[in-house]
Amino acid sequence: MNLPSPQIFMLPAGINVKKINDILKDENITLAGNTCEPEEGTILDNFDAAVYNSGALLIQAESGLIRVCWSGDLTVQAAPESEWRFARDLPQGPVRDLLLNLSALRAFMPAGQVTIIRDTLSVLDDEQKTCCRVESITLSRGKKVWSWLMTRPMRGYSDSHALICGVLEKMEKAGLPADVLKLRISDYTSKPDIHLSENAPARTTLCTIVQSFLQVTRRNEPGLIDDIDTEFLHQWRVSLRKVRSVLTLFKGVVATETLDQLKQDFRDIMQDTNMMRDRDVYLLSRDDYFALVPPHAHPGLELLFELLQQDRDEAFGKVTAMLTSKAYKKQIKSIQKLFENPQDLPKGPKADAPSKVFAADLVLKRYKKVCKLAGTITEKTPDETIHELRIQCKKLRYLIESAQPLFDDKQVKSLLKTLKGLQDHLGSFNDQSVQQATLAQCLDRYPGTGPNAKALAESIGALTAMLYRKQLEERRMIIENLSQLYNPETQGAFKALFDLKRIAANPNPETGEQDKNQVDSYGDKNL
Amino acid sequence: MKLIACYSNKGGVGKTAASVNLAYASALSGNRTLLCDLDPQGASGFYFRVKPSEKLKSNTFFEDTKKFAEAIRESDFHNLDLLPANMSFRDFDIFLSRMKKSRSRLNKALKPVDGEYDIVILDCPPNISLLSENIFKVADRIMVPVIPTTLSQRTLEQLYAFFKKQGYKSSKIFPFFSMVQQSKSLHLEIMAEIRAGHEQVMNTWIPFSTHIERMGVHRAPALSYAGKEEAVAAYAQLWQEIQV
Repeated sequence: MNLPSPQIFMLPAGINVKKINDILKDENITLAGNTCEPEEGTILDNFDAAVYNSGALLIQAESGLIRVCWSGDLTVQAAPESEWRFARDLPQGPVRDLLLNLSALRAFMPAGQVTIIRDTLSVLDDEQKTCCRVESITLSRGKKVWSWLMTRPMRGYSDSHALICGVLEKMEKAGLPADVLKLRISDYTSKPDIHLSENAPARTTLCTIVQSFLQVTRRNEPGLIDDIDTEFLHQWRVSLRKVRSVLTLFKGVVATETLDQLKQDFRDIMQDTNMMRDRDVYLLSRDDYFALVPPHAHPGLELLFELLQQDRDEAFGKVTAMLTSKAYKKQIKSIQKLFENPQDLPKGPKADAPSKVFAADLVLKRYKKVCKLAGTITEKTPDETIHELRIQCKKLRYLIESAQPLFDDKQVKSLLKTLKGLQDHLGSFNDQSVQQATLAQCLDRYPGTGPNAKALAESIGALTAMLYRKQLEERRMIIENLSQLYNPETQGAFKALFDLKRIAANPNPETGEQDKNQVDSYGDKNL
Repeated sequence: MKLIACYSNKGGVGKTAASVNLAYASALSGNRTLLCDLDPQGASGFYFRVKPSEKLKSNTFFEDTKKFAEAIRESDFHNLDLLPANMSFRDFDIFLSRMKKSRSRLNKALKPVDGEYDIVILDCPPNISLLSENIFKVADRIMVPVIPTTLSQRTLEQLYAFFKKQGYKSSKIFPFFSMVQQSKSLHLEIMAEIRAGHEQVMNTWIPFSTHIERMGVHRAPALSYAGKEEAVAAYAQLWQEIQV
């Protein structure tokens, strides 16, 4: 088909139809807009600006819920009639599908008010026949205007399309909407860019890493207190866990006494959040749980979820009380202060080791440890060992992630991806085990008689049986995928990144074959 | 891809109005539709404001199938494209007569757009020529507008006779009454007579209407600006009946 591709233009000062027609006056075509009423709209995004960072804007106006991808396309669905915060709350539609894919767990919040004009302009020939359409969105805030145009070429009218594109191209002045409209788009990320230098002392590197993660922790506090979505607590906890891990994993960098005190501090801070996170995970998977058990167990499951919700509300009360307490603020600030200046952090024997060599050595040692443990696992291995493997693998991942800025980013990402499959199974295996334990606790904590107690017990029984079955399946998958850890490719990747001595001796290994032979020793399960 | 021809061997019977509105109704009901303006007078294109293609003034038009696909123009209406009339169609009959096995030419020409369209509607020239015969052969249905007058009745019988003589399938012929004036008793009598003689006459008929006549002023299918008028809505109903 002889159809050119649609073109996109961004204009800094709105669409001046008269000016465009002046340029087109000798071409036998004119551009015609419609008299579109401006309407008020709200830019929506979530805490990590998932929509904006994907190159798009989400705008809610009376006429529709609109997603403009400035290098891609325009997606519109009818404006939801009721209040919504999560993509899942929206009525079925193409924007809902996109948002679910992008950010299923985070709440969408206002990021700015705009005036919006939506129009479809037509390029007409001298017979008033439409030869091309131009979809447009014009957003304005005060005197700031940002227009987005996308041509819709029509079959058989390539010439007219080329003409209008030529004009628009000359008028274009690309600028991203947040800059042009001065929108307040959140700059939060759970994975901050950390700049480390290879030869800096390990203590300096550790401080930089810890400071970055603690900033993530602190930024999640307001949203967690306001209970905006479950990700605030999750990322608050993950960042603290990363801090705790990196402190422990960077063995010998911090003085033992300081380390022990910090570990105790983190335990105290996080203790109250365990119950809340556990119940959040349950409540988020509500639909999945209902799908797991037969319909006759649903009334009992309703009861169970009411109880879990009560637990969650109670736990949330405790967590907010803790986070808003003077004690917490004082404690977390003093921890932050401890890492502000590396010189002030009481040092251990390895504090001055050059960072890259130090980190590489740690990763290799831990990798060997993981391989050794993985090598002992068979069909008959008790569940405890599988849990141990999960913990070791997680430590290995945290270590690699923390030290990532010191190594080749692409190679590290690819290595982490290789390990992801097995780690996902290990994670699910653990989740199902934790969930079964929670169910058992529920049964113990809510004793009673009568029809409700019976229904509850039945649903817990049905759910436990299903979870156990799923856990067995995960266990099988873990054993099946164990080789991902120690196969020659993974070993080769670890060596290529972290075996610095060997890299220095042989910077450009000619073939992978040679590489494989050299790392064969890792294949020996008796490592 | 279904090929529906709008054909009459008599001019001025509302053939182009029917082609244009049936194509519009087809597109509106979700079919990707191509309307081919094979009538050298080019009225279908006029109603859609599409100019005859400058590029295609060549006798080798149907030979060059790529050119055929390139000549297609998108109309202002969703799902509806148009192959505008080309002045060389006038010479098309002569061109076809020179060619051997010419009867398969039209089919060949339509090959490159097969798959792009669900429905192709052919607005045919009002004569019996080699092009028309080509159409009789390849079309899935031939919709024949008939004004209920004695002269039109005679022309319809001639068409049936021609089909019989040439061995074409007369089961493809679906006459429908056009420009009907219910106030004229002769119209009603002839409609009854034709229905009695032929099984495949469509139930829906198109009344005479100024709204349809005004298509030349609006330069758009009557269904797009006067779809609620009874006479105009009859086209949509006719399309529903064709689809069954």
